[in-house]
Amino acid sequence: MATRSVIPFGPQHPVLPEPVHLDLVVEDERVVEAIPQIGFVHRGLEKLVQKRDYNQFVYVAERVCGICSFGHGYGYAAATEKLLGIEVPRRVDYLRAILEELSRIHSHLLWLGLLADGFGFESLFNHCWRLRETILDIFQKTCGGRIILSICIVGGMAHDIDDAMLREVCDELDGLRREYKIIVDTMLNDSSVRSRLCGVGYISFEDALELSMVGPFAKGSGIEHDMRSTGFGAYGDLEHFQPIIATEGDCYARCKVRCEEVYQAIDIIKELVAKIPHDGIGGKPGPKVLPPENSRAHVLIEQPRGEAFYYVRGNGTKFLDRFRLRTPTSQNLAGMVRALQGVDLADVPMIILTIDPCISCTER
Amino acid sequence: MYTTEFVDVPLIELLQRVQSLKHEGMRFVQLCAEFPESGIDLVYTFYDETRDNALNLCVSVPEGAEVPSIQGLYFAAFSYENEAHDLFGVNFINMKLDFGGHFFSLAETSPMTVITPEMKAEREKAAKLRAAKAAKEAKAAREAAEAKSAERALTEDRAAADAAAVAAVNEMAPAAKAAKPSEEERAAMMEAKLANMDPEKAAKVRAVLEAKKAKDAARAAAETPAADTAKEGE
Repeated sequence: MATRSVIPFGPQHPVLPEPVHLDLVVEDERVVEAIPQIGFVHRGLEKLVQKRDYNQFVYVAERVCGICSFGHGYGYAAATEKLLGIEVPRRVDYLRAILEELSRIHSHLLWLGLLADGFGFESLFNHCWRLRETILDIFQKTCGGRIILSICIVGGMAHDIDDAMLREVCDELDGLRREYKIIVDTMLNDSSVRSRLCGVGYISFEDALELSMVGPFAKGSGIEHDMRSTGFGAYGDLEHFQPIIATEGDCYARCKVRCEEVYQAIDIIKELVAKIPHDGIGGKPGPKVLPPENSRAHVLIEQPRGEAFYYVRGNGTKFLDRFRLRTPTSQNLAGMVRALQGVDLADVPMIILTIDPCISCTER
Repeated sequence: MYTTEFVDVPLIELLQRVQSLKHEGMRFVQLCAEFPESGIDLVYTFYDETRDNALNLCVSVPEGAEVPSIQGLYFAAFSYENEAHDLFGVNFINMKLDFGGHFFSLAETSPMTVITPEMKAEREKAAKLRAAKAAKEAKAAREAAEAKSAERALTEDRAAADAAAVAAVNEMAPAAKAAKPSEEERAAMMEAKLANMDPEKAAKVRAVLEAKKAKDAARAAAETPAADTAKEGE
């Protein structure tokens, strides 16, 4: 019988951009058990809700993560608007959905680059991050910032994005699509990529359901759950929205789902730009608008990594009693533990990368 | 768009309730701890994919109470239970994966149960405002009640005074009617007075009275045809 040993993995590791630690219990080269450990960068951002009023806190929420920063501001603003009973103009919903989809493209391109870098495909890494710059340039042109956009406020948007600019964004996305197709075709059809990803880190449909997994991690195992299909915000106005799924349940399936989601995000943006209404962009609620005492509200939105949960509780003052953000990665930790059971030690980095964990989001 | 529900559940029924949700095929979304004015509140969220409904079970946990772990039913809850333990000091029992308070590396225990000075000041201000508002409302209600009762009393007094005045007038009216002398009586009284007067003076008075009588009769005779003419004109 092989002897068991424990190999510490992370929080500092060449392939891991995120501070997660794993105690890998191995028998020879096979992982028997993986115990995750986080908490290295806990910042107490949820606690800050007691020091910043509900209008100020949207800027804190954006700083939870550097990749899906807009999404966190959007989720927080939407939850607070629900708590206060504010209905935003439809244009606001459209602009938020457009920026959220741009964030999705940005996040997936960043992830694809990291994955390529993870198995030594460095030129692909460079191409992916070059394309990502296109999205960051769009953010800069439309919002003023490249990472922290600060355009989403409670009650609406800080400023409008005019129609000419939106059409320009669509043109740039057409160019991005052409270049992206070349990269993705190379990536998905490459034999060395397939040999590293196919059949590795398998999660069955039943396990994905049992472990309440979310996002492309779950969609790669055939779970057809996507909060956009519930029609929140402007997503309800889309003609045909179907979550992209794959049924293989391995690293390659998760990779394929994310690659396809970029095309889908471009199509969504173009459809929303064509339909965007002109009914104003709302504005900050007045100082007399306060959440009722003991009021609660939550929203669920689809972030690039999966479903995110935003919960707020009011106490009759301008400070909220509680803000809770449940990130997709928190929900996928259990799935990650399951996916690592029984795999080769050399495949651990690939499996973790295809789950695309964002520990900084999870730590808050 | 999905719907949202918040349901209060006693701590003792939590596990049973979660078990039934698991059998119904609900997906576990999250567990969140809160620190209201006293004790800890836990909010368990489940999602029903078939009805697009997010169900929140709200459980109040008294200080120091033990909370059964739901990791046996939903293993995904392990990170939330360990987080609630480290940040809020919630005491979970029967956890499958227990980090023993080392899930987060923290400088102090249960940091989320510390109320910030800003929040404390805001809560006190809100409590004072609530108390002042309640006192103002109570005062306004009291004053309104007093004004109403005073008005009622005044109305009753007025009604009583009016009734008394009407009664007095009614009582006085027959007497007044009785006291008023008729034409003949006045003439008789005048005759009695004249009889007691100096005859020369009495003669003068009689002459004046006769003249006045004649004048009144002439005026009356002059007014009667004018009224008849006016009627004819109409």
